[in-house]
Amino acid sequence: MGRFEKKIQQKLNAEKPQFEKWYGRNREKFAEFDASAAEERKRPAVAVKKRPAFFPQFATICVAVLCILSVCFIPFNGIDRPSDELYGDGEIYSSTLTENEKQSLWVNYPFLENLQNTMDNCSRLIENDKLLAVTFKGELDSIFDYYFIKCEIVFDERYNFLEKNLYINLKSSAIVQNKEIKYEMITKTVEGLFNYLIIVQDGENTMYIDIKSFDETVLDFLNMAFGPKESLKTLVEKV
Amino acid sequence: MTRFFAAVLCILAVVAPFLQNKPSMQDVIIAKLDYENELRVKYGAEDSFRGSNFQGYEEEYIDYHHKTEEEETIIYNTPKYYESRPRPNTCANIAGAIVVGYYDRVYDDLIPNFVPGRYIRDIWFYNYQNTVLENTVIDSLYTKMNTDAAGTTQADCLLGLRSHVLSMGRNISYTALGSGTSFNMDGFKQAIADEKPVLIFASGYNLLPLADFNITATQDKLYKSIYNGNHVMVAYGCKIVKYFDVQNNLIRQNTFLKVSTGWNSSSSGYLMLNDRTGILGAQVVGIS
Repeated sequence: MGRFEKKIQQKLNAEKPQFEKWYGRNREKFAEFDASAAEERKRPAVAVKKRPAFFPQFATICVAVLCILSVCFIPFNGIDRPSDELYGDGEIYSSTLTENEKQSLWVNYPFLENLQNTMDNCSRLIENDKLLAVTFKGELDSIFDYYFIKCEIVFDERYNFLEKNLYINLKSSAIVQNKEIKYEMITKTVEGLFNYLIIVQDGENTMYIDIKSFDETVLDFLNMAFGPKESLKTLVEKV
Repeated sequence: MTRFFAAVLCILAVVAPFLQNKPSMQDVIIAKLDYENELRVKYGAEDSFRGSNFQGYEEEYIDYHHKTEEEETIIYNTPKYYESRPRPNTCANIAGAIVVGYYDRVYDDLIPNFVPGRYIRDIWFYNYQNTVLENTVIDSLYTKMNTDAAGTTQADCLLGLRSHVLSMGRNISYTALGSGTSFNMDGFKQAIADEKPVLIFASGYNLLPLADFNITATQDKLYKSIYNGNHVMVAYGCKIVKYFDVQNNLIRQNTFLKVSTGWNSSSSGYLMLNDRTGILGAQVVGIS
């Protein structure tokens, strides 16, 4: 502290009035108060002032923290999806089928066994590994035509692949081996292939077939795929 | 004392640059990071792409007197690769693999020990993906694109793809086509004409199946699947539909990009540009 500052400090201290002198002059004005009464009046004043100020703040902080925590953690705790919610392709991954799984499907759909250059997958939900559908892709070389085939056997109808809506109300129908089959050509691809959709209801499961062929008709394929197993064997050219 | 130290620091700051003879390894790393940061600023590093979620369907009917359809597609199409492991955030890796698989048709050293496709009756068809492609391309891109639980940023996607292609002894070039309303449709058409696929970084979009829209001679029906979230796809064509009334007035125009989605089942579709779809970035990819 410099000398100048010390001088100022001394002057300020000198000008400060002594409390005892001041109290002596004004004592009679405080005659109605004594020390114990003042103490009693202080306590409730403190209690009334501080607690209401403290508890609302504490409660507000608690509520805010709870809100933040709930917002942060609720989505990750895996709240069950509503039963009517749909699953899209962005939420699934594809794993390969085991030989046993393939064999069991070939019993019901023998033409799948005759596909060449195949790729087969289970479509499963990433979040819980639930099996939604089985997808077979492959090619069928027959005496009629060369077919590029994608078959989707859907086990959970909440799974929505992009073309699924197009299968509703397909215009043409055929009955093969007592199975009702609906089909329709949806486009001609830039490569010049005819693109058909075919839907086959088989018990509780639905088979969705997307097929591309060089020729315009798909009836030969329907007879081959869903006719007697013997006819399929004779019509398919094994390469 | 404080003034003395401040003065010394000032002198050091002025003199230091003249004392350096050659850049240290640390300087080189910093320079490299600066370059990558520059690319991140250029290509956008804020938005991570990690696939998208299906929100529901919407059907729309369009009545018209007559219409015109203009469709352009890369004749070789693109491969239809997809995620085969339970990873929800790999759309950028799959899109990169599709681009690599597309060019592997021309430069077969891009994916060693992998046959990308074959001709059937003079039409090119891609082979399905196998473990070679999954292990050597998709997994490599997962690492090189710095993909994590949040997904992949646009900059990391481009840098990772570039790193992978360079490591295979090939060169890669990108041409930006803009974003949002400034998306360069003419540039896109030129890319398709040049047989170059385009990486599309979309944020919330409508996707339609590759099917004809008309249900009668004067009515189209659009089956829109609505998705939210950020997703990377590969565009390989476009379709522009113009609708006219009886007085030959243009009443509506719909613009679609033909895309490989990176999904197994719905492997391709029409991305509807003029309805909900947000384009955060688009890059023409050339490999030579």
